Formats: sequence, structure tokens, C-alpha cells
Amino acid sequence: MEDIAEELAKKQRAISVTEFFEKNRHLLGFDNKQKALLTCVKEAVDNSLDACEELGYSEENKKEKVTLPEITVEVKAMSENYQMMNEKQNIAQMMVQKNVYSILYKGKTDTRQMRGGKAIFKFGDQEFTVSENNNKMEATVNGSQLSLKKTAPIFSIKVMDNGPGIPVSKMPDIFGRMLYGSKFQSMKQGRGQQGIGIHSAVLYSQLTTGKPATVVSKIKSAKRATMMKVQINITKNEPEVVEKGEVDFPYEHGTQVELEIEALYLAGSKGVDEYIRRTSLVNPSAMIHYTNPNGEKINYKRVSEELPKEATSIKPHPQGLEIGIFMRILKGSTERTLKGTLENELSRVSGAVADSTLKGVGLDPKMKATDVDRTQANSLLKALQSLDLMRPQTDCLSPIGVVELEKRLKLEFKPDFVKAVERKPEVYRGMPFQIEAAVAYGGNITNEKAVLLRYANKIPLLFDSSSCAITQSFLGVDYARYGIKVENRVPVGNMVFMVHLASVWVPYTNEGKVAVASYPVIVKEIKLALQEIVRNLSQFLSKKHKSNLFQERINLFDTYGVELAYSLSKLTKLEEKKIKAKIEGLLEKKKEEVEANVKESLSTNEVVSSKIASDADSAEEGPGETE
Amino acid sequence: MAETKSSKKKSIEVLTNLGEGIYNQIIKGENPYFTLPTRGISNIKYSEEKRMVTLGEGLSRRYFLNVGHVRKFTQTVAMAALSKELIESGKHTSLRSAFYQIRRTIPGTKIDVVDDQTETNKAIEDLEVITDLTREQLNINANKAGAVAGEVIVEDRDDIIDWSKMGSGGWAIPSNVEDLTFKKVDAKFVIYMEKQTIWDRLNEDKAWKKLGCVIIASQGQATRGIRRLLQRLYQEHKLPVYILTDFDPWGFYIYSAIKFGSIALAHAAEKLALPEARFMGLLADDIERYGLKRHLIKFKEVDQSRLQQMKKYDWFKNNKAWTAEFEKMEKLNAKVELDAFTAKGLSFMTEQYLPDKIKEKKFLD
Repeated sequence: MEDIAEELAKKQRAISVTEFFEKNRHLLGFDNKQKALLTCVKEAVDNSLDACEELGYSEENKKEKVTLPEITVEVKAMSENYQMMNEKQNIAQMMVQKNVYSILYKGKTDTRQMRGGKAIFKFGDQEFTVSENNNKMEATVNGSQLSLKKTAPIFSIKVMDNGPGIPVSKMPDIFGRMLYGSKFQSMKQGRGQQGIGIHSAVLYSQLTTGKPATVVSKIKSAKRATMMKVQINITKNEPEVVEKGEVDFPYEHGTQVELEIEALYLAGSKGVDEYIRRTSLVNPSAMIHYTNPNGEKINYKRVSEELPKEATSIKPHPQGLEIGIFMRILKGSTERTLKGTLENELSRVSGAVADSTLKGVGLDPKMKATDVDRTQANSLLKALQSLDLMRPQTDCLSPIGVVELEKRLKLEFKPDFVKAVERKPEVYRGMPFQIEAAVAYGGNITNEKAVLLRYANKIPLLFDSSSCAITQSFLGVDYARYGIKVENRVPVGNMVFMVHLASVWVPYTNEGKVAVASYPVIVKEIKLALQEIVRNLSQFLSKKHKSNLFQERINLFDTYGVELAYSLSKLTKLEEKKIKAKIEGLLEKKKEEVEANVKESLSTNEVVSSKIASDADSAEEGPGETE
Repeated sequence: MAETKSSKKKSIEVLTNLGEGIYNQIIKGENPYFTLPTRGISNIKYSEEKRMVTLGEGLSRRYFLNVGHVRKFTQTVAMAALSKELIESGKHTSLRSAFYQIRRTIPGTKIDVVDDQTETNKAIEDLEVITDLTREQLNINANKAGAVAGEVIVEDRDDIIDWSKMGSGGWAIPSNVEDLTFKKVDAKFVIYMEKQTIWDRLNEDKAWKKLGCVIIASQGQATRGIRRLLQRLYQEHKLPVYILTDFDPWGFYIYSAIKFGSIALAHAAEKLALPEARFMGLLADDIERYGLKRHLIKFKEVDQSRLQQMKKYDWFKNNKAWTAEFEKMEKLNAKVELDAFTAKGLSFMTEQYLPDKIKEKKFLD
């Protein structure tokens, strides 16, 4: 994201925001209409969760009552969507919702009601007419016929939170200026690193439906909430407030964003439903109310009354620094000397180390950091990275928490077995990271093969599974060693695995930010975490197998006992019922023996207990015996 | 040796004891079991002294509370119950019917007590060794097969039967001959043959009258009824028993099974084997002597390998005469059927071959 920001900053004067957006659609998560829906929801939800947590931590620090996140997400199909085309090209777009028609022409929208089967729209000298007869729709522009082509429908996305709210003065910029807020990257674990920002969703909405974003926000001190309809002036990259007013808000403070976008809604593992569900799994202290386009309401309950441990910022450690960021640190430094900048704005660089390193590359420790050019910065960074510096501190991370994770998985799957583990923080290229992993088995999990849920900084990763370090580590575990069957390296059985990578800086494979890069230490940590939960799962399964086998045997003897009682009563003239009762008594008495047999046969892999001699009935038969 | 009241009573008693024994184990809280001779090939022995194939000393226990045993255990007890009912009501059943009588679904389950007849057959064999009662004493009969003719009068279920007045078909030997009573035995010896066609030939020739013998046939292996009948004729009336088969390994094996018992029925050897039986032909020398050479049928691979197996049997390998016979057969690499004699004239066997044999007493032991 930093690179895009830099690039954009450079090119901003030359190209329009729209052009930038079009060129970088795939990086921004708008490469197709299904993904666009997901990206918009994700941006809004991530913002809300971050905002809520931020509020909670500040309350915690002030020893106030902590507000826990409560988020409402609503995705609704709004209208049908048509492209209006003359013989040559697509000239406008029409949206239809019942008998309300809107036409989007050159970035402007006109909305009319159909009266007497006809509606007229005016955009300067262009006059559109739309008429409907016998369910057949026709359109013209200035009298010439247009053809109508149905395209992706319009969805409305509404996300509301009980976060701190946004001061009125900041509302336009946050939603209406591209790359607002993408300030110098702080070295802190957060969801924000993931996305490109809510403003890109606003822009997408504007480009596809012509509708501004409707934002409602209330801060605690305000009496009522402020409603604003915000759009982006795409030539100036400036926010435009189309409408503004005061409204009521259900919480004391919070924010609600509403967007209308052209999109496709799909259920399944890469859809919004799944995204929300997976998000709820790693946010045990959040309550999420979700209504999907089919009108189904799903409430994800809160299982923890405490926020996860707060992530603290750390200063960048030279080991993980990239030149772009290093340059910005130097340029933005307020220190008087370059030595001071290295000492105070980087992690684990002492004054003495700064001195000797600067001398080593021929730079004056007393020079100003802002005067260092790119070539000098490059050699300085290389010199710093060649040093055997202390590792960065690792207490800055915010894991989900083992207890909370298990609680949440229990609620979700009602599993027969659940286990979560947390590894100690580790460091890759100077960046602290920490792995959490969990498994849930049985319950309402119905899939035949294990499902892997991937997370980075509490964000579900839904795409590009195969190139992800988490998937590769998952497939690299030798499950057979733990007595778990595999098919194509995936464990067989109704189980769900989840792996969470928390880091101040998640190493993604590319700008799409959907897969984690395979650093050996990350792969190793994930594997160790998985091995630990698999070991636990294996113990559970073998116990379960034992008790199944035991029950099967008791049932077997019980079954044949019925027949035995019948035959014995004929032989002895005793009452069948009485014999049956005696056999049941025997089984009760012999339970331990049967159990012991089960254990023994499991350890020796024999079906028949070796304790009792089995009879050999495989006598060689004489030929042609006519019996 | 008619079925007396006491033998019936004894059978019922044995079966009742079996049931009560199991019941007592149950109330004592023991894992119920019964002991039976191991019927694996490892426990099959040839007894030089008894001259028969018998079960060795190996014993095994079959437990109810054992996953591998429980089904067989239950089936055997079910068979005991059926058998007791049969004896008490004076009825008999066939192996096939026994299967249908035992076959039922255990209430409340989808499990059948038995799935096919091999299971009931095994259960019957087990019950025989556990109780030391024969299948016949358990009132379970095999299919009847075979025919007999000769100057003997028997009583069977109050009917008097004269084996010399049974017409062209002869008297069909019942599967259970325990209840027969011999009223009058004028015949001097018995010829048993494996082939019904040869028996028909000899019967039409009234060979039994001319030679003063009983002729008995089965089709293929002798049934238990026939074997028991041969044994009784020998034991009770001292009639020597001669075996007449084709000159091939399969014919020799029929002789072997009658004389020494078989592996499958080793547990019943004492009641079925007849070590005093003698082999009267066909022998290798007969081929030369009666000019049957042109009727040799070339061995197939399976014939040769069967011959090799038989050579190794404990009861043959130290027998010089038989070893010589096997070697001649191996050399010839061919077999001859008894039916070949008819090439010499329909009644050649009655008029020439059998009288020669009896006169010369050239029997293999």
C-alpha cells in the first residue's frame, strides 16, 4: 500500500483519481463484481472493528467502563441495472427499483417515477425517455432508439458500529478523499494494513451507481448524529458534501456508512456471508448482526467480555526495513542529527552503534537526516542490516487468545473436540509475529475433509489459498504420523482448522494482500502450532475410537446374548427372560475385561483379543466330499 | 444297534448338560466357553495304531465374550437347542433344513443368526466334537444317496426290507443307518464301488447272487450313511469290505477316505473309518492282464498333482504296495475307468474280473 501511495502521490497531478482507480482495480480488490461486494463490506467492517477497539483501549486506559464492539452489517439487493447503448457504445446506465427509475449519465444521476408508462430524464441538452408496455421496456435519447442490456444488480451495503464516532469536520475527508489517512505506516499490528481504505469503496460506488456515500456519525459529546452524503470530486480528489443534516442514532456514539454499488452476490466460501462468519470467529469480544441479501438475519454472539490484548506500536527494526520506508523515516524526522534519528526512530539501534555505522559508510552523524539522499540511505540501511542487532521486542502483538478462540469455536460448531494453541512471538526479517492455531472436530461440522481458515491480523483470507504460507504449512504436516487419514495431504474427517498470523507487518505475497509469503521461520512456526493441535486431536480421536470399539463390542455381546438366552432356555427349560437377565449381569460384570481386551487389541492392532486363544477353523478340506 | 430309549435319553442328557454348563458359567460370572479339539490342519494326525486319520490332542476353547468367537459360539448353542428339540419329538432334519430352522433375525437387530449353510454345517460339526455325538445321533441327516443289493434282510422303522428283492434300482441307503436292524445276513462279503453305472451293471448281472456278496454304490465320495453301513456290516457281521474304483487318483482317494477317514471328518473317524477295507481294483497290473491298455486316458495336470499329494499322505508313504502302485500310475501318466471292461463284453466284470480277484485274494491293503 505504501508503494501505491507513493506512486499515486507522484502521479497525482498527471492523472485523475479515476484513472488511477481503473488501472489498479485488481490491487484494490475490485477486479470483479463479486469481489467488489466483498471488498466494500470488508473495508467498512475492518474500519468499524478497528475504531471500536481503539475506543475500548482508550476507555481501558482511562479506567472507564469498556465499550465492546457491536457491529451491524446489512447487504440488500436494491434494484436492477441496465446499460443504455446506442449503435456504437454504452452511453448511460439505468437502475430500476419497482417503478422508480434512475439514469446515470456522465457522472450525474436523475431519478424519476414512471407515470402513465413513461418517464423523461434531462441532462442538459440530452433528453432520455423510458417507457414500459406489456412488461417490455424501451428507451430513447433525443428521439433515437437505445438498446437496454441487463447487467449486475445494485446492492446497498450498510455497516454500523458503536465506535467513537467521527468529528463532523473530519467526515468529508475520511470518506471523500482518496488516500486520506494513509500517513506514514506505524509499526503496529492492525487491520488497516490490509485494505486500501474506505474511500476506494466510496469511489467504486460513485463510478458504478453514481450515488454518494451516506455517512452518519455521532461522537459522545454531540447531541444528535450528523448525516452527510459524501462523494469524491474525481478531478480534484476532494470531498464534496452533497447533503448534510442531523439525525437520530441508536448508540451514544458510533458511525454508519451506506454505499450503493454494482455487484454480484454469491454464497459460498468466497462470499460475504462467509467473510462475516469468519470475521466473527476471530473477534470473540465483538457482537455482529448480519442480514444478507436473502433477508436472512444471522447474529454472531459475543463470547468474551474483554477486548484482546492491545497491540502497541514499536519502532521499525532495521532488519525488516525497506528502503522506501527508511527514506520516509529520514525525510519525516524531527531529530536534529542523523545519529539522533537512527537512535530514536529505529528499534535496537544505540547511539554507539549509530556512530560507528555512520562512520563506516562515510556519513556525518551530525548531518540532518532530511539531507540524506537515496543512494546514501541505501548503503546506510545495508550497513545497519549487516549488524548483529538485538531482536525487536515482541510484546507488541495482539493475539486472539486461546481461551477466547476455543469458546468462539465451541459456540460456532458445537464440536466434540476443540483445541487452540498459541506460539511464542518470533521474528522474521526484524518483524515480530505470532502464530495461533485451532482445530474443531465433529459437532455440526459436516465437511468430509478438513477445512482450513486462514487469518492475518484477524482478517480472513479467502483468496489465493494455494500460494499462501499458511496453506503450504498446513499441507506439510504429516498427519498420518498422528493416525489421521489424509487425502491429497488434507486430513480426512469433519474438522475445521484455523491459523492466525499476527504481525506488525504481514508479509503478503503481493499487493492483492490475500496470501502470506513463505518465510521459513513463519512456515516453521505454523507447522509447530499445527502439530501441537493435531497431537491433541489425535489423542482425542484414539480415545473416541476406543470407546466406540468398546461400545460396539458390548453391543455385539448384547445382541448375541438375546439369541443365546433363547437357545439356552430350550436346552435347560429355564425361562428365557431369566437367562437374558443373567447374561446382562455377566456383561455388566465383564465390562472391564472387555475394555481391557479393547485396549489390548488396539495396541497390538488385532481385532480378536490375543488373550483368549482363537480357534483355527481352516482345516484343509478333502476333495470331493459329498456331505 | 437300534436306536434305543437309552441312547436317545443319553443324547438329550448330553445336550441338556451342555446348556446347563453354559448357564452355570454365566451365573458364576465366568466367560462362558466350551472346549473342543482344534480342527486345524496342524491338529490332524494319522494314527499308525488305529490306522486312521484322527484329531490330535490339541484343544481350543471357544468363548462367548470374544469378538472372534461369539457368533460361532451362539450358532453352536442354537444348533444344540434345535437338535434337542428334534430328538425329543422323534424327528429328523436335513443339513439344509437345519439351516432354515436356525436362521432367524435376532430381535431388535439386523443380524441373522446364520447367513448361509456353511455356518450351520460347521456348527453341526462343532457340536459333534463337543458332545461326542454323531450327526445322526443329533437327528440331523445328510442327503441319501447310493444303492445296495444283496442277500441281506433289514428292519427299518418297522418295515422289513429284503435287499435281494429291490428290483433294478436297489434299496436307497438312508442317510442315517443307526436305526437299522440286521435280520438276516447271508452275504459273505461286500463290494463297494464309486460308480452307480457299475453298480447297475453288476445288479443286472445279479453279480451279488452269483458271488454271494452285497454290492453298494455311491456317486463319488461315499456318504456318511454308506460309510457307517459298511462299518456296521464289517463290525457286526464280519463281512470283508472290498473297494472297487477307477484306476485314477480320485478313485484311490475314495478308498483312502473309507479306510482311513478324511481330513474334514477326522473328528468322526472312529465312527466312520474302516481300516479293514481292502482295495480290489482297478490296479496297474489289471491293465496289462485284461488288455485295457488301449483304453488309457492321458492324465491332465490336475490328475498328476493330485497323485503327488496322495503319495505324501502319512498312511500311504510307508506302504510299499501302494507306493509301487502310485509309481506305476505316475509312469503311465494315464488313468483307466472301470467302464472300459464293457469293451470285453457287458458282463465281463461279473464273469471274469471279480471272480478272479476273489479267487486270488489279490487285494491291496
